[in-house]
Amino acid sequence: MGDTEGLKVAAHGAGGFLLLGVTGGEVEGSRVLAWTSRDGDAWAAASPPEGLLDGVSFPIVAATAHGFVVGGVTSIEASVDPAQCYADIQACGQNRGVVAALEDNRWSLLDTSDAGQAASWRPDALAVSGENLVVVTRGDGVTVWRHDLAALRRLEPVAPPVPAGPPLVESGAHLEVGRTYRYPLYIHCGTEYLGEFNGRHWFAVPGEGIDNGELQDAGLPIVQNSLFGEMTVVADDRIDYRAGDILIAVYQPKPDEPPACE
Amino acid sequence: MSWTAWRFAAAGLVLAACGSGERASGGNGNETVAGGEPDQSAGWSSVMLGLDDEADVAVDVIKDIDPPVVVAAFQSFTAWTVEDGRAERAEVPNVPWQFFELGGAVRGPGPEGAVVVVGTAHPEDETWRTAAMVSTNGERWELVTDDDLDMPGVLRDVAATADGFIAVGARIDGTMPAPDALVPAAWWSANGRQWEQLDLGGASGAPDHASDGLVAVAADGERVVAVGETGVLLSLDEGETWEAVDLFEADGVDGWWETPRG
Repeated sequence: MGDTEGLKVAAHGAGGFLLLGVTGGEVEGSRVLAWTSRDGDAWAAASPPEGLLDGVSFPIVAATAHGFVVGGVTSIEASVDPAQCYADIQACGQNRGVVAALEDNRWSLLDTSDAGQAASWRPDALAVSGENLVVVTRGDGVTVWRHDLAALRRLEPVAPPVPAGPPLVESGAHLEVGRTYRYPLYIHCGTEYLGEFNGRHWFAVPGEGIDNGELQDAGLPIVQNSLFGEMTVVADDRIDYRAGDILIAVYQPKPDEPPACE
Repeated sequence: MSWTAWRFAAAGLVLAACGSGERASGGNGNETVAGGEPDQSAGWSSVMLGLDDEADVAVDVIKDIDPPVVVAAFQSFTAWTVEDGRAERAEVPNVPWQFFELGGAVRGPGPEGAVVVVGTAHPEDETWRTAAMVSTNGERWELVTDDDLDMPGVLRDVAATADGFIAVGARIDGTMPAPDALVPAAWWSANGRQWEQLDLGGASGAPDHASDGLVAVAADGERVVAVGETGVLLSLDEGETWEAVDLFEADGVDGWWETPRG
C-alpha cells in the first residue's frame, strides 16, 4: 500500500458515523472514499463522486446538524491530469482548498470562493461552532475563517466544456502525418527525447529549436517539469514540437533506446 | 460530470445572505484581521493566529464549544480562543519537549466537560511518548501527568464518549522483534486527567497488520468506532470490549483490503 492509502478519519454526528479513507497515490491521483453507519456495525459506501475530492490526501471532517463537512487540499500532479493543464495552465499543478458537504446522502461542493485567494486558502481543520462552519487554513499564515454553514452555497457539477484544440495523446500513440497533437513533454532531463510514437522512439535533431538551458526562462507553459506544447507530424520521419510560436525541438525516429532520466 | 465546473444547486439551495457580490474591500472581499475587528461583510469573517504556516504546523479546532478553541502544534503546544474576530492565546505549560505532534482534540461530555488534546511528545532524547493536555474551557491548559498515559508510543485521536474520553494510537511493544514496533493502543479517561489503557483483545489483528496502530476514533455515547489504516474496531461498552467490523468494499476501488485483517 502506498503512503496515502488507508483509513484516515472517523467522525460522529447527527448523520451517524462517517469513515474516510484515501486510495491511490501520486501517479494515478488520490481519491477520498467514505462509509457511513448508523450504529458503527453495518456500513454503507458513501464515497464522494469522482472529481469532488480527488487529490485530497489528508481529508478533514466536521459533523454538522445535517450530516458532515469534509475538506482538504487537493494535490494534483500535472502529469496526472494533463487535460486540465492544457485547459488552464495557471491552475495546473496548483494545490487548491476544497470543502464539500454530505447531507441526506448527497454530496455537494461548498462555495468558498469568497473566503480567500484560492492558491493560499488551504483548509487544515474544520469544526462547527453554533450555526457556523469554522475553517482553519494555511497559506498566508494560519487563519481561522467562520461562515454561517446554512448560508454557504451548495454547488453541483456540470458537464465540462468540450475541450477545443488538438487531441491529447500519450507516448505509445499512433500519429498521422499532417496532424497536430497535444502532448506534454517531460523536460526534467532536457528535450532530447520525445517519446515512442508509431512504434519508434523519437529523438531531437541537434541544432534545431531552443537550447535546454533557455527552457525555464523562455516563458513557456512548464509545470512540474512538463512542457504543455503541441507536436505536429510534418512527415513520416519528422515531428515538430512547439509551444505557441516557439519551436522547441524537431524530432526524428532512431533505433536507439530511450535515454535514462532520473 | 466535473466538479471543476459547477453551478448553484437547483434544489435545496440556500443563498448566502451576504453573497459573493458584496465585497467590502480588497481583492477577495475579505480582509483578514489579527486581533482586530473582523470583516463580515462578505459572509466570511477571519482572524489570523499570528502563526507562520511552516510545513510542520498542525492545527485542529475543537467542536461543540463556543467560542471556538483552536489548538496547534508548532514546535510545542499552542492554543487560542477565537471570539468576535479576536484570537486570544491561551495559557499553556512549559514542556520539556523538542516538539509536539498534534493528534486530536475534543470536548468531553456534558456542559462542564473538559477539553482534551492528545498527541505525541518528542523529548530531547529523541524518543516519542504519548502525551495529553487538558483544560476546562480552552483558556488555560495543563499537562496530563498520569504515568498510565505517558509511555513510549503515539496518540493520534481522541473522542468524547458517554462518560469520558477515548484516545487511540499505538504503543511500542517491547516483546516484538523490532525495537520500535508499534501495536494498536487505546486509553480511556473519565476526566481527561487520569487515564487507563484499554485491552483491545484480539480485535486489533495480527501484529504485522497492527503495526500502524489506530489512527482515528469517533464515539456515540458508549458506542465507539476506532480505525486503523486498514481496519475498523467497534466497542459497544465504551472501550471495555472490542470487535473487528467489516466495511463494504468500496465500489470500483480495487485492492482496498490487500492487507489481511484480524
